Amino acid sequence: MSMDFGQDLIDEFVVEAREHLCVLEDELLTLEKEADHPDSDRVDRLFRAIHSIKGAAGFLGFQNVSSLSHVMETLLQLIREGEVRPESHYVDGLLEGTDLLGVLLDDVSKSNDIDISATHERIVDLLAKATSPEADAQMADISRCVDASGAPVGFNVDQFTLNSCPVDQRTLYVLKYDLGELQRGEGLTPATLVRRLLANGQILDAKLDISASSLTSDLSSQSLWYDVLYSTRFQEDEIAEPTGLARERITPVILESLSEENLVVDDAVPGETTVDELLEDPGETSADESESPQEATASAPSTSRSDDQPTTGQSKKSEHSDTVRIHVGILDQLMTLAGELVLVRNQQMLSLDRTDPVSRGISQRLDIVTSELQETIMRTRMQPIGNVFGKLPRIVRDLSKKLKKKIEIATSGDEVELDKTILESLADPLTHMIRNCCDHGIESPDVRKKAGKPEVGTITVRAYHEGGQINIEVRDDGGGLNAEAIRRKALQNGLKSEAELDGMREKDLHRLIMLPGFSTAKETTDVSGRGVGMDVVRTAIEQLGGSLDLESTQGKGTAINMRLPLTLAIIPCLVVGVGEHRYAIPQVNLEELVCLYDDDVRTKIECAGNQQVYRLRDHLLPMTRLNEVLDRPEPFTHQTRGEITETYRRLAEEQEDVGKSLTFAVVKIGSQRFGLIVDRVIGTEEIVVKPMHPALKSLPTYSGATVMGDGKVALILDIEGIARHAGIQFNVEQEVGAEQDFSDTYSGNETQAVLLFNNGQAEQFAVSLPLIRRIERIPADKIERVGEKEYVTIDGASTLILRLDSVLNVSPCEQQDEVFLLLPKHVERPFGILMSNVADIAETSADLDMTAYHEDGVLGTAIVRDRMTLFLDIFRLIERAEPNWFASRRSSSPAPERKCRILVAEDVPFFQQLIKGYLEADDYEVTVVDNGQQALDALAGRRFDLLISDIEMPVMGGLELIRRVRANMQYKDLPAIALTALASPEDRAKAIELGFNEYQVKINRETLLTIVSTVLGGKPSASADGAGQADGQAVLAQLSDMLGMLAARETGSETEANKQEVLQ
Amino acid sequence: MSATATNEYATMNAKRQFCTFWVAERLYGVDILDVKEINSECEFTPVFHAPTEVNGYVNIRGQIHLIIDLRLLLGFESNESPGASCIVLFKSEVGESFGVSVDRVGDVVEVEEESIESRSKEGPGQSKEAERQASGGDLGAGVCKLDDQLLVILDAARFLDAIA
Repeated sequence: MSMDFGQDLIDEFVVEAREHLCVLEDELLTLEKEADHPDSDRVDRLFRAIHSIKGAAGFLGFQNVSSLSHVMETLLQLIREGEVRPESHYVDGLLEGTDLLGVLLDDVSKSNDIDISATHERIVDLLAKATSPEADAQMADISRCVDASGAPVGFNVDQFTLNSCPVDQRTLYVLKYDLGELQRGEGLTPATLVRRLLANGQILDAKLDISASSLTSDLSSQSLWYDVLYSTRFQEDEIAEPTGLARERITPVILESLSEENLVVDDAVPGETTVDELLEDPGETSADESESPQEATASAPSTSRSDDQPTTGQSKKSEHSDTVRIHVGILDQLMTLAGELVLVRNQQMLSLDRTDPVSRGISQRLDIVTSELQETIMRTRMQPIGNVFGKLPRIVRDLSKKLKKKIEIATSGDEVELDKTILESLADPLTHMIRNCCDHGIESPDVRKKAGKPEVGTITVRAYHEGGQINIEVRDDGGGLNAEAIRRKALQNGLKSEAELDGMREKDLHRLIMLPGFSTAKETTDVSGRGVGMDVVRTAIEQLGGSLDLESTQGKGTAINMRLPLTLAIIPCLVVGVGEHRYAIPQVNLEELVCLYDDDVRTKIECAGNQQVYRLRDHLLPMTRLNEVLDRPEPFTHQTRGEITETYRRLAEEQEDVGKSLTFAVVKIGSQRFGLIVDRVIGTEEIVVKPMHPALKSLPTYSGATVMGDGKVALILDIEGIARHAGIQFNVEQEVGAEQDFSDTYSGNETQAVLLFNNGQAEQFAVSLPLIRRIERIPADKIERVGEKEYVTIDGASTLILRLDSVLNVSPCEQQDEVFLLLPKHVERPFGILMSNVADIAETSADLDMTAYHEDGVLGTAIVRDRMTLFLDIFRLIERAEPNWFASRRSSSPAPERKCRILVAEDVPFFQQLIKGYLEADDYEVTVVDNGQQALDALAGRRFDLLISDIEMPVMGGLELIRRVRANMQYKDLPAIALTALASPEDRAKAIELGFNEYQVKINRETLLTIVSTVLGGKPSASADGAGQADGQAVLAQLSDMLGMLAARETGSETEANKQEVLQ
Repeated sequence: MSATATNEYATMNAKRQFCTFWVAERLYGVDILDVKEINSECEFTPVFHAPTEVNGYVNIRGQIHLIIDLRLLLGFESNESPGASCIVLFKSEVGESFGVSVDRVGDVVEVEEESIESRSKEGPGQSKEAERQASGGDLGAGVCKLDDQLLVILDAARFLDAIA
């Protein structure tokens, strides 16, 4: 029977039913865990949920939904009665049913055509197994309902059902409602009616009389009778009020025992009879006696067994009363109007007569009210993230069964609220991540046991607010990411070259899994390895304006952290102007702004083929001009780009007025960046995004429009669309870059971060930021004197204070109450440099002027912030102040007959100078080259005693260099030390494996010098080849001691062999 | 003229009201039931790359509307002094938040349903533009003789489809 109740009613049913399904799923999972002692409240909630679905579905004629929920209800009833323990296979059955209900609800109008027999039968089987003889007996004990005169009223009820009603609610009535009349009169929908009845009693059975009228016509003009067998605690004189019915429509019911023969029983297998009876299909109940006229036609929902709603249901009722369902369209409209109200307020503020206190007061109140109104309306779109989290336990449960793992999931921060749109788009990526955790993250129980971890793996999902964004963290305590496997995979899939991978830190390697086309699972499983991976997750998150970060420790687990904006409806944008119009660039796409002045405008924008480019910190940035893009509706061709480039090149060459300045935004699409030249930058603004008009949806250049503060419309640029439209060539970097002389560009543009500070009145000093541990503020009176020296206690240690004026020829520190102490890194004993004032942190050129001022302890000078600045060599200063701290090393290595020659390959000028300085101070002869290739050239030209090389260098890196060095017969035994910023054990192992004898983290001066001294100690000079061989064993032992100073390192036969090589 | 409006009035065989306006000194009209409002706001935000008939976006009480230049749509030259124009906005049933710009708005005209002649098929030699100017062409719903001039009745629901 298919009835037309109007789409509204059906929609409402579907929405409500879905909510009930959510409850079912959640509660079932919890129920399973407490199978031994099921919480009766929980079972009640489950029962009520399925009961509500059944009732409404039967009413609306969705037989499949109704009969499926009916069997589920029956099973739950048995659980509620304590007849059945909610063991795993029962819960499985119920969950299967829940899923199928979900499927049916997806297209509820066609739900009757879907085959539900498999699931239905499965639950029936469960019921058959579960039904105890006692319950059978009760269910067989059927009473007929009659009115006071003994006439049947059209319902039967079995003892089992009756017993399930609370004892004080066993007064039975038949209520006759006219649904048509209800709707006409009170505007009461059937759903509301059912809810109202459930608040005060139980609907044991109900039927709909559809014989009277054609149901295709509107309810409002017809009568539609709905008979309810109602059990309640109200007595006859009280019943009229809660039901809202006239006396003549209420019939008190008396039960009359029926003998078995009177019942029509399906001729089924005897053993199954009771179950079938219990499950009598809604459509078949009418086969019973047809005494009453209403019964003549097919009845609607079958026996509703019981529901203990009324007393405990109060809270549920109130839940319903304080929420209202509103169509999103109305909310959007409210948003729009609130936005407009803001505009009106702005206009009103502008036109305000500020001298009039009255109107100013009113205007202020309007201002406040408007802001609050807007905020409140924003909040209507917010939903708790728990709505999405709620689905996760189920996924984990199913997966852990399927994968034969033991996994638990814990969520927190369910109450954190997010914009509805974001929440909806978040569901899929989150699910995917959880699947990943289960499939790849958590190990099987025996693997976990071997690893000394609890058998049960845990996934924690946590949501919290931070800095105006929502953070969602998914953490598992599984095996973590295998950096080596990722590396292999990336190489194999051709995602990265070996050289690129060599330069990567472990964390960077981990991030590779978010590249498209990456999957570490050895075999694709139907769980998560479906050819899509974390890249899909990342894309989804980035589309939402969020970002994704990943952290993993092998053997310990993985944590993925997502940061999401609170809402999508309002996004931060940069507003730029072209001509007289304004455009918004979403902040998500924006990296930075660059402004060129004067001559730079003409000279800095170069051409590479027909593409304009700008060299931004050593990277060539393809450029495009927004005005040209907007002027040309057709996508750029090769020719168009050529024309544009030519036009501007000619303008620049002819020295014509191309403007005093030129501004461009560096925008990004994923990892690709380009420069978008605009006429002017107006500012950043939070804008309300409106979609493009459908007739203009096909335009690639815009992603939407917005109303600006002055009421005018501005368009939001689609950066990706613009890149496509302008045909930007992102590979320009490689093409042009290869032709460049790297050493030139590097030395010209290399910058370093330095701390600027003062000591005396006159000089400005600078210390490279990476060398500073921290800065301490100390009161001058805490400084203690011991003879000539000054100390202060920091972190419980007496720290030696170094006054710059005591070692350098500079002005003394000013007398003041409070001074600063600079505590350097990489020193073995606590000491600090006194500063009177910390000026700033600055980015300066790494090129130092060595000639202008020379003094031991000063690396050189540079002009920073228009002042000559002395760059300090901290370690040399200490050495000068406290020579005896270093006495041990000096004396241990006897002065060689001639200076040892050291070749240093290092691309960064700052480090070149630093290392050179250290080594020369220890009396070595130092040759510095910029890269591996130059190092090879240098080696070919003369003999060196030691090679010190950076790992990451342009043209040829350190790893390639050492490979070639070791491959060359002439100098394959040259001792080599890798000096680098990469400090992970993997990097170290890699370097050692390729042939470096030592691996040093940059700027650890003392250790470096000690190692150099040791490595060379075995053979005083290149001219005395082999002289140190006799001392081989002793030096090896010494070397091992030194190595002990280093952090974790790989020992292996290979390293050992390399050490032997050093001593050859 | 929307479909529902036609039916309702056809069965009742009553008078119909048209909102008339001038474009290039000719009188055109649309069913008044299709019109949401008439507004003198004419500061458009141009949408580059959009079809030429599109004037641009305009903000009407927080809602962004797409405005089509009816002159261009009907095949006339674009107006040199856009300051003098008005916009006619249509109801959402006609098409999603849009309107047309016209030279100036005329009166509301009431005519007998019967007096509206369905648009005459011109000779095949006539261009689309000329046809649109004369009788609305594919945008037209009919022609009606008023006392002193001809009123070309346009079907607003077809405007959006007609661009580009």
